This record gives sequence, C-alpha cells and structure tokens, in this order.
Amino acid sequence: MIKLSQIRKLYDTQEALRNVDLQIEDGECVVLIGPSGCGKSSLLKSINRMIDIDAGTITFFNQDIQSLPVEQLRRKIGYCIQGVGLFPHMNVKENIAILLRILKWKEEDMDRRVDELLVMSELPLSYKTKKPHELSGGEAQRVGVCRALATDPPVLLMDEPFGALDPMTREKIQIAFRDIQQKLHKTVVFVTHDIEEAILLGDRIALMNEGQIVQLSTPEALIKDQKENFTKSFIGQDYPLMVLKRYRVRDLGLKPHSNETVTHAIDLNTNLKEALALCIKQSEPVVFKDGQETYQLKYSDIFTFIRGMQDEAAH
Amino acid sequence: MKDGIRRGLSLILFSTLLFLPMGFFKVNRVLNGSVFSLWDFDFVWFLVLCAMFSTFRVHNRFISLIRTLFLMVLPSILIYVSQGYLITESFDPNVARISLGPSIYLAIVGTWVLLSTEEKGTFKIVASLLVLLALFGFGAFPMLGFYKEYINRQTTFFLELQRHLSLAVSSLLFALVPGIYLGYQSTRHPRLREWIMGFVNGFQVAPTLSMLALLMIPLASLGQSFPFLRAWGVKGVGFLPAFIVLSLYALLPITSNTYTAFKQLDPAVMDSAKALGLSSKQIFRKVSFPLALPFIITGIRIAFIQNIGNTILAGLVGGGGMGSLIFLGLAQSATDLILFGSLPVVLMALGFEVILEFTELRLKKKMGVLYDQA
Amino acid sequence: MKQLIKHRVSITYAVLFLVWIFQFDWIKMNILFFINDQNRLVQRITLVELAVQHMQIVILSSLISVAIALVLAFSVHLSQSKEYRDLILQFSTIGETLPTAAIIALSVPIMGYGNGPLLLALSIYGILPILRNTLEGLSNIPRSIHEAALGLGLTSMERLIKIELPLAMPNIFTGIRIATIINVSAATIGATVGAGGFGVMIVSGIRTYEPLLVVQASVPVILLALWFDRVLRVSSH
Repeated sequence: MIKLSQIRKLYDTQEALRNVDLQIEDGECVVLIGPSGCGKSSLLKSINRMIDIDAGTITFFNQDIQSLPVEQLRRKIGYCIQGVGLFPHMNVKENIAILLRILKWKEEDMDRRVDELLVMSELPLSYKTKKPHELSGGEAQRVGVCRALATDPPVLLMDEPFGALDPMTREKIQIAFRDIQQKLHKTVVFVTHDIEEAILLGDRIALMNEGQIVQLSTPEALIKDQKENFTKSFIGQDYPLMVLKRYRVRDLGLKPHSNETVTHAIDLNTNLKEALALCIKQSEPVVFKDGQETYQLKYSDIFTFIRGMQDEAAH
Repeated sequence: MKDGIRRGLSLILFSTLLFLPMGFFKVNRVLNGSVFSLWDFDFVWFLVLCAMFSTFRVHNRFISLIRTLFLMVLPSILIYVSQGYLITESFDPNVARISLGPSIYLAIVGTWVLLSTEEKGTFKIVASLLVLLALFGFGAFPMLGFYKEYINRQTTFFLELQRHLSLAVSSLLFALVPGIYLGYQSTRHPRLREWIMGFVNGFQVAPTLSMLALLMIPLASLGQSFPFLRAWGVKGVGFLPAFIVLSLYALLPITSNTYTAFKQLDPAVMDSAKALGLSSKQIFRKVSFPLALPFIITGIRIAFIQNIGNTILAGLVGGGGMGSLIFLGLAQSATDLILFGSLPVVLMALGFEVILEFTELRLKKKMGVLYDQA
Repeated sequence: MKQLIKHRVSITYAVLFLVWIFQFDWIKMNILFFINDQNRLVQRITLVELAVQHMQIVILSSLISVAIALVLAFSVHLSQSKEYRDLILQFSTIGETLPTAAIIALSVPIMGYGNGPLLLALSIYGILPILRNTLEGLSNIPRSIHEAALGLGLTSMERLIKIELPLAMPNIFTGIRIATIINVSAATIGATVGAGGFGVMIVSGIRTYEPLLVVQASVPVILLALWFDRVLRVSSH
C-alpha cells in the first residue's frame, strides 16, 4: 500500500502539487489523469523519488520512503516511461536482466526469468538477442515493461508509456497490459492524458488539475457522480459511451439461444461499445456465435448491465 | 552511375603517365638530372593501357579479381619499372639515383582512388601500401633516391621514427586521463565548463612554435639552477618541452569531445537506469561510460592525428622525431631527404586516421548509437 | 559612440596589436624588463614589416581557401549527387588530416623556398572547415523556405544565390573564422622554409635561445588570432 499525505512540490515559485493526499491499495491500478501541467507526472515521480518533494510524507508499505536508501526503494518499484529508455548497447535479454545481474542472480535463474517475462508479454523468445534499435515502438515498450517487472516488484509506476505509439499498436498493448495486470495484480500507478486509456486500465481514476486531485472515483461512478465543472468538461459528454469499452459481451451473462441464423461475426470477447454500435446498425436483435453456442443480444441487455454497474458504484 | 566520378578521376590520373615526366635520373645527390617519361621505355605503355582499361566497370568475377590484384601491385610495378631507366653516359651506380616524377605519384593516387570504389576498398588500399613498403624494405628498388637515403640513414631513420611515435603517443596518454576527467566534470558543472573551455581554447590560438619556444626558457633555467633536475632530463631542449606542449595541445580535442560524449546521452536511458535502482557508480560503469566511449574515441583520434603533425615541430627544439630529418633536408636542399622525412609522417597520419575511424565505427555499431544519427 | 562600445573587445585587441608592433621598444623597456635580453642580434627587419607580411599571407591563403571551398560547396550542392558530395568531403577530410608542416615541407621541391609552400599548405588546410560549414548551412535550410523557393519557379542557380546563400551566411562565416584563426597560428611554421611573417622572429628566437624574440613575435600573433575571432564572429549577422 502506498500512502501520500499532504504532498507539496514547488518549481521555483510555481506550485506543481498542492497538499495532495492519495492512498493506493494493494493490487489496484490507479490512473492519474489531467491536462498538461496538472502535476500528475510529478506526483508519480515522487513515489520512487525521481523527484524530491518539498513537504509531506509518502509511505511505502508503511515505511517512509525517505528512511530507505533510494536505490533499495527503487529496486522494489518498476518504472516505465514514454521514451522506454532501453540501453542501446545491450540486447533485449541483457536489458531485461540488468538488475538481476547486479543482484547476482544465477545464470539459469536469469534465463528462466527472462523467458517467463517474454512469454507473458507475448514476445517471441528469439527476440532475446535483438538490439533495441531493431525493435518496433510497441515491441520496445513491451521489453521496457518486462525490464520493470524483472525482479517482480510489488509496485509499477508508468508515465504515459503508450503515448508515443500509433493508435492500433496502442490498443493492442493496452489490452495486453490489462491482461497482465489481471494475472499479476500488481499495484500500479499510471499516468495518462487519454481518458479512454484511463477507463480501460484503471480500477480508480484520480482526476487532477493545477496540482490537486479534483476527483477520485471508479470509472463507473464517474458517469453520474461528477463533483466539479472541471470534471464534466474534462471527461466529456460522451463519457458513458467510453465506459462501455471497459466491458465485454461476456460480462452481460447472456444465456445461449436456440439455433437461429447468425447475423454478425462478433463473439463474447467483443467490447460493449462495438456491440452497442452493432445494435444501432441492426434493427433486429444481434445473433452471434461463440464456439458452439449461439447468442442473442439486444439494446436492453446492455443498458440493464450498465445501470447495474452504476448502482453498484454508487454504494 | 555509382563511382562514375571516381573512375573518371582515376582515368585522368593514369593518363598523366602519358605526358608528364615519370622520373628524374640524377648523377648524384645534388645535381639536377635528366627527365624521363613513359616513352623512354619499351612496353610500359602497355601497362598504362591496362591501367586505363581497368577503370571501366567489370562484371565478370574472375576478371574483377585479376583487376584488383593488378591494381594492388601497380604502384610497386611502376616504381620498379622506372628504375630501369639508364642513360648511356657512365655513372656510378652507388651514387646515381632515380627520383620519382609527378606522373608516378599521380598514378599511384589513381590506383588508390580506383581501389576505393571496390568493396572493402580501404583494406585493399592498405594492403597495396603494405606490399609497396615491404618491397621497399627488402631492397626491391635499389636505384631509388629515396631508398639510397634510407640505406644511408637506416639507423637514424628508425631512431627518429621511434622517437616521433613515442613522443606523440606518450603525450597523448599523458593528456588522456586529465582530458576525460575534465570533460566529464564539465558536464556536471557548467561554470567549470566555461573556465576549462576558455583555457583550453586559449591554447589552440597560440602558435605551437611559440609554446615550444616559451617553454624552453623556464625549463632551461630550471635545469641550470637545479642540477638534479637536469639529470632527469629537464633541459631547455629535447624531449620535455615538446612533451609538455603536445600534451597541452592534446587536451582540447579530448576534453571537448568527452564533454559532447556525455552530453549526448539519451535522457530516457539515464532516467530508466536511475529508476531501476542502480547506484551512480553502477550507472557510470554499465551505462554512461560505454555509451559515451565511441565519442571519446573521436576526441582521442583527433588529438592523436594532431599530435603526429605537431611532433614534427619537436625537431626544431631538439626533441628528435621525423621533424629533425625534414628540417635537415630543408637546410641542405636535399629533396630526397625532405621526402624521406615527410612521407612517413603523412602515411602515419592517414594510417592512424583510418584505423581509429574504423574502431570508432565498430564501437558505435556495438553500442547501438550509430542508428540514432540521421 | 554606441558602435564603439559594442565592438569594444575587438577594438581593444586591434589597439593592443598596433601598439605592440609599433612601440615594442617602449614596451620592452617598461613592461618586459624582467625578461633577460641579451641583445645579441641586430634586427634586420622590423616587427611592423613582419606584421604586414604575416597578414598578407593569412589573408591571401584564407581567400584562396574560401574561393576553392565555395566553388566546391556550390558544385556539390547544385549537383544534388550524394556520390559527388561524399567524394569531395572525403578528399577534404584527407586535406585536414595531413600535417601542415609536412605539406609545407613536401611543397618545397615543387615550389622552392619562400611563401609559396606556406600559402599552398594553408590554403589546402583551410578548405575543409569552410566547405563543411557551408554545406551544413546550405542543407539546413528549413523545408518551408525551400519549398516556397521551388514554388516561385527559380532555377537552381537563382535559388542558390538569392535565397540559400544569404541564409547560409552565418555558417559560411563560422567556417571562414575557424580557417582563418588556424591560419594565423599555423603561418608561423612557414619561417622554416623561408616564408615571411612573425614566424621568422619566433624561429630565430628558438635558434638563438632568445626568449625575448619569441615573446616579441608571439604576442601579436595571439592578438591577431583573437581579433579575427571577434571580427568574424560579429559579421555573422
């Protein structure tokens, strides 16, 4: 668990962070989002002391981060940035294993761990000997994530890691990351300026503006509960539609129907936003097949579901 | 159309053999002799025709190989052939000599230009040069004025060559550690940078000759006042003043390039190294230094080549080196001696430049930094 | 008056230089009295004459370098041929690798003794800095300006002269400045082959162990280099 209390940060006379309080529970992914200059990156970097704060305390698993030698702290925290920062003179394997080598792991243990991580991020094992300049943007970022996770740190800090990728690659890597997170349940603090990314990846969203947290809620709760005008204007009027992307048809819990003619080639993994779009195109209920079973999908199924999520969030 | 310009250039250079003098036959060291050219020989024109034809593009692998070999030995053949020129008057073979004329020099440059169009051209050029030097060393060109100087002064030649290299290398090594240290420190302390750059730049502005001369005086007086220093070699003339001046001059390129080397490090790389929890020493050893190394080598290369040239001036203050041969030749108006002293220096400068640039390139590829440059 | 203050540094250098070469005897007696002056030599040539010779050599060799370098740079730029560009750059780099002193010595058999070899060596050495900087300046023209020029329908030559050249001026002057400063110092070596300039006094100071002669000739060289550095830097506006 990470607790930030009354964090203040000044750049010259400019207040980048004003008395910010935030508590991040184990295993949850908190997304810091806001316009440029709101202080989200500064807040993130204060956790692993890449930035020194001027006032306030940060405790990391109940230990003040100032009480540890900074290298020890950082070895327990994974850090991913937009530029990735892979070491150009080392190949993929050496990049991922660098901390392991310093911690004097055995050769076989290092090999095993690197393979594990590559498989988890869906990268071919043959990439081990590639140099960073041979990788595409998406591949490099995946290697960056592997490197951050090498020592299996409990916490992962991510500063707009997918910002430099093209939309298609970004979507793929977001989904891959979400899957990894669901498997590993790391505590993640994620900075982004993209509200859709925040909805997709975050268990809770911390909306920031001018050095303060304006609102801290789950993505669903934000549909109805918008405390400030700022929140309304930042997340936009079509926010509810964006939340749909967080879920899949599978989550609706549809029961299989008797054999009818299949009208569309979607499946249980299709996200709800696409499914809703399909319902709009089609006047009749959407009939699709997943595996051996045939299903029927109607508008109302989706609405009922989303209503249910909102009510749950309100409690 | 690739290499078309170089082929054309080689063709022109080879054709100079047709009308420019190939050499001079001198009865002795000092008197000017008779000029001879291509047409004084029987079938050298055939050789030249072959050379000119070799500038055309060849597609057959076998012929291409023959062509490469031909080009590699052509300089040696040309020089060898020119020795065959004899005049009918009686002459003393021990004293008379052949001096090479402009067309041979141009033709040799032509072969190198042509070789540079080939794959691994630099290696072939170096190989051709080594063949030439080896033949020269083994006495294949006994009538060459150049060779006669060599024979007469063999011990001196190698002595001065060794002195030259040791002066250039030792002063470089002496400046290496301070230069890198200062260069690195100036990335972390901007004020320091201004001081260092100002000081070191000031050196570049002062003529090397002046620095050498001005250093002679205090060293001489120190040597006179303190006899034990004199025993150590602290004299006004000789090795020491040249050594000190050369070290100081080597500082600028090393410092300046080391500064650039560390400044160009990618901030994203440095950030992620810090965030991984590596200590500053670990970051320096495993990340910053390896990535900066190729650019530091650039500075070393520049400094070394500069040194080789500046060491010539050491000859004026009794520091030895090829400079002493050159200045001796200038004083005696002996062309062969001048050539004898300067050509090795030129070859050394070019040779080391090629070797060090190659090292730099290899390192840059290995460190993955080559690909960042547009 | 404002102009004077703006250029105060270069004016200072110029003044110091002129005072030095014209009034050295006074300086010798009042400022440099601590240097042991053995006064063995009778000066056959005055400092002022040496200054004139030195400047002539520097200016002439710089002009030759500029002429050749600009012609080469323009031809490379107009040809748009990468092959040609690489070839010229390679040759120029060789020109810079070759030690100046060696080139001077090697030119003597061809040109005899005197100023000739020095001018040749200095001109060759100065080509690369000017060439490299000019090419850099010409290729760093912002895309938008380049495209606007193309759109106007000018020929390559017109484009070069009217648009690209003026924009590349700062770079060209940087190259000229670097070449000239190197020339000022390197010209001193020419004395070993009978060329004129301050080198003559420096070399005779070395040969006769007269430190005063060395100082006498070295200071104006440094001042001259500093002055050129200032003047050519300011001009790049």
